[in-house]
Amino acid sequence: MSLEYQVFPVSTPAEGAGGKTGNWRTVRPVVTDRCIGCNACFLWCPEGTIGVVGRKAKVYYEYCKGCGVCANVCPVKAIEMVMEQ
Amino acid sequence: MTMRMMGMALGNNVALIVVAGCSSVIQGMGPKNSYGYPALNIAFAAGSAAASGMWRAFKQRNKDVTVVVWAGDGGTADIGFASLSGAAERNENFIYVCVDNEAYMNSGGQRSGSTPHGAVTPTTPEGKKENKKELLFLMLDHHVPYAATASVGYPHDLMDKLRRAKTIEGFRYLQVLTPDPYGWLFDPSRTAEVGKLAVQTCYWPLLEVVNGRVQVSNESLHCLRKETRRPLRDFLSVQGRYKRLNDQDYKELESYVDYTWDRILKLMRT
Amino acid sequence: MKVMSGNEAVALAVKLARVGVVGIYPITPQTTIIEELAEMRARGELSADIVRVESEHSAMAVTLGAAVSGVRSFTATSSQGLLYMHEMVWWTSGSRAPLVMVVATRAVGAPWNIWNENTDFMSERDSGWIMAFASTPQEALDLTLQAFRISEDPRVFLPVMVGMDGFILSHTKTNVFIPSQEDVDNFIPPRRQPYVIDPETKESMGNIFPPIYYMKFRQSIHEAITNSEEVIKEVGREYNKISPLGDYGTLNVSYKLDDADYAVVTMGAWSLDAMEAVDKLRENGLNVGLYRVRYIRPWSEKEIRENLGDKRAILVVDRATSLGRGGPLYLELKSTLNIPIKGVVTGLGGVSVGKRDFYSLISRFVEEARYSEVGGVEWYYPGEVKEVELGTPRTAH
Repeated sequence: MSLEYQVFPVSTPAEGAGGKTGNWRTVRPVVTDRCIGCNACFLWCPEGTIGVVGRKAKVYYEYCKGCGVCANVCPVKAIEMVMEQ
Repeated sequence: MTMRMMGMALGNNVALIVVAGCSSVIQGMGPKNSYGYPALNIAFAAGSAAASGMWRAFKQRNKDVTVVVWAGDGGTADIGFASLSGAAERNENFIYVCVDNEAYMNSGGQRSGSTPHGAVTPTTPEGKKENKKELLFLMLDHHVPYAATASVGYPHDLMDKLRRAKTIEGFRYLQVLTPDPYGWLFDPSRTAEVGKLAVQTCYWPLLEVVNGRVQVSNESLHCLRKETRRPLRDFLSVQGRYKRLNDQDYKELESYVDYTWDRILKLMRT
Repeated sequence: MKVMSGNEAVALAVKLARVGVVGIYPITPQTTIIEELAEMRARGELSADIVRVESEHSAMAVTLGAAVSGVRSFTATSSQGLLYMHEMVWWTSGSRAPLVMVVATRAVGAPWNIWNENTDFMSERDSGWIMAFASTPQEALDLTLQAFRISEDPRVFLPVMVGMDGFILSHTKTNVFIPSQEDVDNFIPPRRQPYVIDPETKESMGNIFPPIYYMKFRQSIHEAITNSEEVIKEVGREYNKISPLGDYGTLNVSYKLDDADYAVVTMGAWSLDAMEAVDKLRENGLNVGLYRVRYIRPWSEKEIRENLGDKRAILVVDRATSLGRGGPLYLELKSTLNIPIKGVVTGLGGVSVGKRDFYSLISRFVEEARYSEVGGVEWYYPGEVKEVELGTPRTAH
């Protein structure tokens, strides 16, 4: 008996389970030179789409939803929320 | 937010039980899953019971896995309460994380037992009449080895508590206040800020109770004396759901905060 | 061989199958299963972890939680408990978690009723579980043991429900042959399951899938149930080797059916009473036989057509009802066969039905079938036979 009919509602960790959520944005975070690399943005970002790379925070725009929490928690106000074109 | 912070605190060796709620949907569409932890998705009321089975299975398989139930306030205060209470009474060995955004947010924000007095929700358009169900004290009455509260506004405190919970055996309860911009009506960017305000105004006490011994967390120490509490208005005015709040409601909420801290002080003395 | 009740037999099966986690909640008449399990554990005979949960809904949840995490699990319930568990019964089959549940059947309220009726069990037949029904304490033991192997077979990977008549089987004691632990260890292979919730594999179960996937998952259950027929027969044949009384090579069981013109279809303990009635009727020249349904799901159209397809008419006696339509066995048979079928609903709420009632029912049926096309549903009350004076309702003896 071939077991091809056996399919189970099992999922595995993968990127993009909700699609390219970057498309949801209306505003995008832009990291300025004021950034001190403290990683507060990384700590609070609900999506894990911003974090310090090297000495400055970098945004993963493919999935960033533009919620603006990073800008709000940044201790030196280094992030500006800019309208998407 | 809390999920990521939990990941930072607990590491890789975790199995989740996710009850019905926003977190069911946030996983995205199968066969993909946005969680890095393995998750058993389960019916609303069944989280704590499923965890009671899961941790025993891992024990029998000689695997040291931290079992975590991830439930919202609806699944904790209301429909999941019986199984929560049962598991706590039996001192089942897992961590219960209640992410409390004070309503049934996944279905549009309807009131739950954990919604505070005066909050406007789709099912309480004139503001909720009853007070917030006191889940932490209810858990303490079950004599659980560990119970604590946290807020997304204070991630290090949250992570410390999870790390400590991981080292304790038995039933561990953590209720995290997770402000919800959609339901509480404030700009999403201020989520962490609102989480901080809740604690600073002493509306949301941060504490840790280990085997009955109460320890007020640093961020809430100023709440022990009424004079040093930040005015509740600072927290309420940011949220659109309190727009209808009249003076009487405000007094009611203030006395709720007073009452909560009186209880905490009493517990500290015993 | 040992004298024991159906409940004790089930508890023994749980021990022999080396179950790891048992979720328990008391409800009459299943309670002695869990009490027996707790006592076995206290005596050191049972290594299973017993979780005394706070509701039946949680009993199924506990069992499911353990099952998906890699351990053989079991629970038991009855009527109200089964209905309370209903959400989780569906969740479990949808999860494709191999596990076993025993249902000691009991009538469903309102109003309260603690006596035997099969409606609670039958009402779960849409849910995607394999469902077997015992007729003796021996079968309760045997079917439960086989259930573990069937549920864990990769061709199946579905939960299995074993039913038995409340009080009548759960509490009455007969001789039961107990296979040795060694035989059972060889009979039930090490546990297999379709996935494990484990940080090592990182697989998750149950998040939303696009609609087409969902439909395919449902179809998978459907096909697993139909394909399980083969597995059940295979497992039954293997079981016959370790238990000499067994006749598990087929899903259902025929009694004096080959040359019969008319057939009676029953399920459960009273089938034995019906068989005695069949014997008596044959002595008196009536050409009847009995077909005992043992597996509700899968419903073997093949076996049923083979055994009953050539009969002139069939009488189905249900101890359950789909309110407004008739007995479930009647409805299932009507959708399988194209011959005159009459349904009788009786024995509900514990109304006692004995071999004399069966004799009366069957003889009346055959009379009717000789001269007209039988059909429809009759609600039968024992004692309402012609010999009884009118105006004095006779209740169960």
